[in-house]
Amino acid sequence: MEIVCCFSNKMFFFVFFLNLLYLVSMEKEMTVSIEPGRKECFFQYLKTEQVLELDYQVIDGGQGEIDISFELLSPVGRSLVAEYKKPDSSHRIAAEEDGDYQLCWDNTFSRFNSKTVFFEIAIDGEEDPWDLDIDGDVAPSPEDIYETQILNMQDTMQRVRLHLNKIRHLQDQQRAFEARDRNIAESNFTRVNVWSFFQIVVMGCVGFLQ
Amino acid sequence: MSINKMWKLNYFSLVLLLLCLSRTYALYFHIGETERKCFIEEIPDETMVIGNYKVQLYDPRTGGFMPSSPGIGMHVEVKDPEEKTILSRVYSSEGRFTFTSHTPGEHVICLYSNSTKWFSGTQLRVHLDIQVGEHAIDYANVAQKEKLTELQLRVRQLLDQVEQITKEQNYQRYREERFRQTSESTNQRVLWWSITQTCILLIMGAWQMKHLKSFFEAKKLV
Repeated sequence: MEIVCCFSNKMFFFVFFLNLLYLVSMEKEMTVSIEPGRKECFFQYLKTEQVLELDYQVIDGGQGEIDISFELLSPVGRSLVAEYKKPDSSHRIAAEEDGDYQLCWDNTFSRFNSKTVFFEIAIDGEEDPWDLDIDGDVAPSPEDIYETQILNMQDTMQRVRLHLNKIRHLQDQQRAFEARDRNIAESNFTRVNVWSFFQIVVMGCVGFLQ
Repeated sequence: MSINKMWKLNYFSLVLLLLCLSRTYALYFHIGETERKCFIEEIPDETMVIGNYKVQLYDPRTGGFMPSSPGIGMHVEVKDPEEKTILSRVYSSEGRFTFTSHTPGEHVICLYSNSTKWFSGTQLRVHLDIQVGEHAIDYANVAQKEKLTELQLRVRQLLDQVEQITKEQNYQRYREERFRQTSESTNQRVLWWSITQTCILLIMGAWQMKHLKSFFEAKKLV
């Protein structure tokens, strides 16, 4: 049984507080389908000083109507962002008060087309679930060099983590763009098939009549 | 400092940090009691998805939502890309559901309450948080089970994240191939149909001209 020196306790607290400083962003993404004539709202609680980064894209929308209206309301009901019929957009809002912020996507202008909206929310100032402080079984030897090396490694890993988060975010965005293009291509495909068939029928009838 | 005190301090800080983590607020939305809300998740295969949710019933007395409503159940239905139902269960008003995808593609997660009303009853507030892939792994558990030091845990987290990114990229390649096939097929069909149409029109035109000519000749006008 190793004797745990009081030094490791100091390092432990230091690491603990260092973890608290690494407040990176918490990300959430969702894909939702909004029926024609409807408005869907999502609520997110934000504290003052937190920054909300939102980007959304319409990835499917019937016959080429790939757009949607968006509105962001503060907890008291004031409209912070209002957009009309946009295919995709991105916003960065600093929260000025605590409360539930409303994100509303509006498809009331469309009569027949249901829209699929992909949105991603990142909140700066929220803790990353990565910050789990678990002290190891093996007690480090009481040398300052060891401590510095560990902190350097942790620093590097933190940077790698940030880069990976960015990669993930870009990947999600690219996936949404690709999904949208694929939906357009598939709807073109069905359209070509349907109308060609229809045309064959019409030409056949006309030819026969004549 | 004794070892016991050391472990107590560790435990205390872990609990404190976990309490801080549980503070993260999920997104919430309102649905009617009989309404059905669906979310689409496009995921590669062999990916675990965890959904944490909490349902609150509207309280007409206070005009707000009751903090906990144990009476309602939530029906969760998950369909895979081939429209096959892979999960269909009723859960209590607060909990989590998990599923693992076996085919890559668009999975649809639908939520609705198990209310027996026919028309829209009261409003429900549903807090929902869907975590996909490496976000779904409980690292506290993993560290405890495999007895990992902090550095080992960090490396493990990074490895899992990179693995998930690789999986998504492979899936992206498969999707792009499908997309290319659809585009090429559309292109081909458009081309062939235009050629066929032109030929048919020319043949019909020539045939009609021949008939008209013979008709006029018969009537001795030409």
